[in-house]
Amino acid sequence: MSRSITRKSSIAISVAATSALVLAGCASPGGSASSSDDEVTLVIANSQWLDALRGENLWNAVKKFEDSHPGITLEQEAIPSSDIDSKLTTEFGAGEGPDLVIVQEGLFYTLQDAGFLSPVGDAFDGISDLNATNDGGVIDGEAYGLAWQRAVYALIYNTDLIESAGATVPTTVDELIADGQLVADTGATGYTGRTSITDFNGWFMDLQNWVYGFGGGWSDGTELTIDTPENLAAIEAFAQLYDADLIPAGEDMPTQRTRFKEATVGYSIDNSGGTLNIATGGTIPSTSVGAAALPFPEPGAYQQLFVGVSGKSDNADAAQEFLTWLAGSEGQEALREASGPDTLATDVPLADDFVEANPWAETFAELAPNAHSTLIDGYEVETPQIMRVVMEAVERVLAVDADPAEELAAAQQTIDEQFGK
Amino acid sequence: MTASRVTSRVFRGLVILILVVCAGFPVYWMLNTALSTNEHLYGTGQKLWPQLQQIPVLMGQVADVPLLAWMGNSLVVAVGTTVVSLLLGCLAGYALSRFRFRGKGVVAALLFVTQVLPEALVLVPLYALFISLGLLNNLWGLVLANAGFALPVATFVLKGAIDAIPKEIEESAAIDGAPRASVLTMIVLPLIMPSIAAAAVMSFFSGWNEFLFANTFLLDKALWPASVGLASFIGQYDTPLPAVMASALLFSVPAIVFFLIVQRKMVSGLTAGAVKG
Amino acid sequence: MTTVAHTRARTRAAGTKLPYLFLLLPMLFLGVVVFYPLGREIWISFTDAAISNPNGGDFIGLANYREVLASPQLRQSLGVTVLYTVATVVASLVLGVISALAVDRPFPGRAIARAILLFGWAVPNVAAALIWTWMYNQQSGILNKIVTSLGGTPLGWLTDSNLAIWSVTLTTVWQVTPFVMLTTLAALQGVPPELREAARIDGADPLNVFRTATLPHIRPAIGLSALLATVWTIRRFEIIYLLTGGGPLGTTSTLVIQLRREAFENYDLGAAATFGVVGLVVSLLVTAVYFAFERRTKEGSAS
Repeated sequence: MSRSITRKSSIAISVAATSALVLAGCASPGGSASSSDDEVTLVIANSQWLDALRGENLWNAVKKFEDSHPGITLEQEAIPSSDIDSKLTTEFGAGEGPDLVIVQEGLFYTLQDAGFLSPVGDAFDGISDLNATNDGGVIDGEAYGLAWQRAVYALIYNTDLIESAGATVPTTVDELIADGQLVADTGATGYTGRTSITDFNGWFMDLQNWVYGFGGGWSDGTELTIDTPENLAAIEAFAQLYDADLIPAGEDMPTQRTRFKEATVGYSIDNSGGTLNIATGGTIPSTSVGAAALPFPEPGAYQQLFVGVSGKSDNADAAQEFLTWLAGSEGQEALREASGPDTLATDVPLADDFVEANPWAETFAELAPNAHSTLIDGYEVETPQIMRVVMEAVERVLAVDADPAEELAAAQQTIDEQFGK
Repeated sequence: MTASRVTSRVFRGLVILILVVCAGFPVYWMLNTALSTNEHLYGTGQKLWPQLQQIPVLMGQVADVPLLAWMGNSLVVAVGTTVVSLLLGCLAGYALSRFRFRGKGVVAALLFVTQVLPEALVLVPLYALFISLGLLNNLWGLVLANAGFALPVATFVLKGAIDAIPKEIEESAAIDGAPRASVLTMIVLPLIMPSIAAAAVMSFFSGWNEFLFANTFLLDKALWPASVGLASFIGQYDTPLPAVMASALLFSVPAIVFFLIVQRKMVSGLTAGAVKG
Repeated sequence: MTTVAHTRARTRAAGTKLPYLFLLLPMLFLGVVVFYPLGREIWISFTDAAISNPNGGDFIGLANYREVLASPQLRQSLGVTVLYTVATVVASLVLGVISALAVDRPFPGRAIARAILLFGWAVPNVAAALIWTWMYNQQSGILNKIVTSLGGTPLGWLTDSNLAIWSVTLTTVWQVTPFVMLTTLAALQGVPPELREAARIDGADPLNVFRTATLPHIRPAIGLSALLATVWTIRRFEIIYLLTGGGPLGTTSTLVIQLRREAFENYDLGAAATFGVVGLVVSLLVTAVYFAFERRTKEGSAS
């Protein structure tokens, strides 16, 4: 019998096959920014590039930079928002990563704390009209980022629904519960908001509205003030709303937002980005979406995105140029158009036609300057860890009717042990 | 005897029916959800039967998504993983089954250790390694990473199958003067076809569905396999459930097709008579 | 002309180098892609590495281990992991073997039935999480619709701290059972049908036919899939993370979920690696038990 495949050749085949794969992998071009003599490519990472609503517009707005800066090409690195934390920290930790990042405050502080960002103060030398939204970008006296967008929280409602239910715009939590009940009696959903630790980040940011709203806060700048009467009042109020059974149990925020979009929800507390999403492309017309100040004595919170420059970038100069352009009138105008209701680094007013189509947007613009960051003052980087303890306490209050005062006291103790400075 | 045959057949049929319904219902529900409007889902109530009139709307939504490009990338990764895992798995499985040698236990243990590793644990060092090897942002790098975890599984499946083949078959071929490697390819492999098929399906699926490495090692949107593309649907603000379900269903189709093709090899009776001859 | 004995000796002698040759490429490949990173991770668990410099942590000996092993998170996640793994593996084994037996012999539509039984594995994690979350939805999900139409009250599938782990287990069983079925099915193809026919002709009922003729042939495959299913479930991350994120009240927080929290929330790579190593040790223990068990059955059946 002929044996055409000998031992040697079968081994040779498998060696060749696997080596070919490895070599193909090594030889294939990969990686990000490569520069020829004059051409510079800037990679900008942002999860918003994937946003179905604004992503394309935001990218086109940013691309306008190329018109006035020939020789620099912009490339996007789109990362889903749920993964951007882990992906960027992995990339930077390994010495790679994009040239510019557009990230939420929390990640911004983490990246800066890890030494991944370079100072950008020089980029704004000639610019004088940067507003207070940029203050958060100054860490230890140096500016590390430019404000990209600030999305403040407000109370939003379905004007048609509440009118037909006989409800009004509440100014206190008790009123909110009563009004929500009126809406629920008509068969719709009274209130939507996060109540589950599955979306931990989203939930603790939402809760900050209540905490600040009742005059509380988790630190006074140096000490962690967990167990305070104001914080207790906030949590008790939230528990009160939860016990009123107005919120769809266990649902994530995207699902609840879609409910609002389908005009089956009376009230919610959401930020300007979420509200824009609700008001666009769903059953509810944007003119039926109303916005008002939060039903709390004090102002609430905001979410904010910053633009930072990577310390490992090979194109630091070009990156700084981009920031200068972005902070200038041209960049701000372009960004204004694409940003919907969010507040920007300078006080560019909302476009008239946008306000006409989206009357709720002005309320957000009014509320933005006075709101607070969702990060804990003085403990920005440790905020998720601290809030993890707090949110688990809140979870127990909601789920097993634990005593809020006791839970807060226990949380204060745990947190002092771990983070006491 | 005939009556008990009938009852056992009916019983079998019932069992199959129950299993198929339980296994298939979530996918049926995916189909149903894909063909529902948001109004149904969040307002008036989801219908029990698929609303076929939604198909054109759905096609429009899915057309916006570069699903074919994504699936093309997934195919590269899946096929690559399968090829590497099967090739090396056959070699390793045969070695572990037929030879006694020093360090055999260690090798088996090491192969096994790969299965207990959570991918998150090796993510960061593997990332750094791939950077230095130039395998980042590269589908072949993904193939190698996936194969690293799929290969041991293929090895164990194939080893088990080779274990079940009586040694006399090979020894009779060896007496005929055949070199080891041809014994492997000409005689052993055909006998373990069902297990090769099983190992192929496992490797293909693991490459097809893999998410974590793909998400971390790929920087270019154009290189995204469908697993990452699907996850990108989960927006910060909302998740268009019908569109995602439709894309997910389309994404699952090639994997099922691959299985249907390969499962024809899972036919009994291949080993019957081999020993007696 | 060589004698039979001479040939046998030649084959045996030639065999001594061959296994190493066969295994060279696979092991080299694994060494680079798996073992090197694993080694680094184990090293990191002994340092205080943070994300800012994953390779630059200072050696702190067993400090991470002392902290992690004493933490209540570890105790809870260990308990959750064990419960989740045992429940998933047992259910998947039973259902998987039954499924394999059911679709082994030909019947009209067998290929379709096999394909449908494979759905749980073919559907990617993200889609599985989305559809199961939707089915588990308390207000609009189909499961609660069925419950209420049968007269019950809507259940908090993913929010009730007593129920969540079982809901997660159910989804996982849906995903893992196809794997067990596949492995068992492949092994069933190697069972000589004459054995089964002979047993049946002898008048044995189906259960006995199964026990005497079929089971011995597929036991290794069942054992292998049990082992693999176990270690895979121990390290299963995505589906749990997407369904519950580890809640409610930590009742679905397995070792791997804790790992991710340490790595990407607390940015403490050393602690994350420690959780990983604990999971590794648990898995290795399971493996050791399995191999000891296998050796004993092999010795027992070698008669």
